[in-house]
Amino acid sequence: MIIRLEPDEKLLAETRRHWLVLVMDEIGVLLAALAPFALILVLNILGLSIADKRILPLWLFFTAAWWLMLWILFWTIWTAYYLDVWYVTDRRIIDVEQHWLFSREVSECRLEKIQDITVEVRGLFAHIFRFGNIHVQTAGQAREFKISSIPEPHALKEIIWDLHRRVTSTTPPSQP
Amino acid sequence: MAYILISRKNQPWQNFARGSSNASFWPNGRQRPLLLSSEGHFVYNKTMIAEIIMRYLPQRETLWLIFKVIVGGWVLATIVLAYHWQKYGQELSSLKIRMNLVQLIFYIGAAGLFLLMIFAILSYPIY
Repeated sequence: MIIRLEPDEKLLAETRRHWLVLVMDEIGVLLAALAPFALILVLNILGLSIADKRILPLWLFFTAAWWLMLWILFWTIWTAYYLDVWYVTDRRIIDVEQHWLFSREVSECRLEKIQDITVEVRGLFAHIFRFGNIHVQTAGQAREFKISSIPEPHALKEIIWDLHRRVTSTTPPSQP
Repeated sequence: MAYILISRKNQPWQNFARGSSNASFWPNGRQRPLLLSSEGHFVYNKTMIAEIIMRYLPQRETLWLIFKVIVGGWVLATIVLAYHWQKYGQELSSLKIRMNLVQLIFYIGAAGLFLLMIFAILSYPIY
């Protein structure tokens, strides 16, 4: 599903999970990138020198191939992180859940339908780096909106409440 | 001579190996890389492993073949990633510039690694 803003709709906030989440996801890739250097140690134990005229190009070749694979993996993780996003406009919240490549879910809720917003900050790192989860309960919708590990969740909550107040004060009450 | 311990004691296959008359040598009289220590452990001879590695190093043609397979795999993976970047990364104007920058970094990095691989193949001796 492609996101299309309505005419005159303004994008006010765009938020993703905290950068620390991305770092934690990528740390395995970064550590794996050091594996070729561990291979040099293994070769040394076996009595083979990396300076050998055949060993060095071979090591270089397979190291570059390994890094190329990790390079793709790095950007795949980044893409899944970056496309998992919340857009807050002056009319609605759009929740894009990108779990992995080819696994994408887009849902939205109108600001006037919001009934409750809960902020959840759990754990030492969440307090130090100031990130947390936001739950949005909406009227007439079974699904709860949730975004995990976003930076400054209290500030976003205030933005959403402020927008909600503005929208509900200008929207005439619906007829029973 | 240094050995690396690789297995536990009293495995059935060790008994089988002990039963053979000359388990530590090939029929041509050369020492096997896999040996039995006096305690009955299987051990590796490091020097012989190094010798085997050096004996079975690939030819340059083999490296070119591996390179072609890697290029094919990279192209497939890039199509998948570029699909996401083009389809979902361009939907809002705020995303567009960043996604284009990411693509540029991705292609420059990959090009650098491909050049490194080509350089490695060309500097690999033909024998």
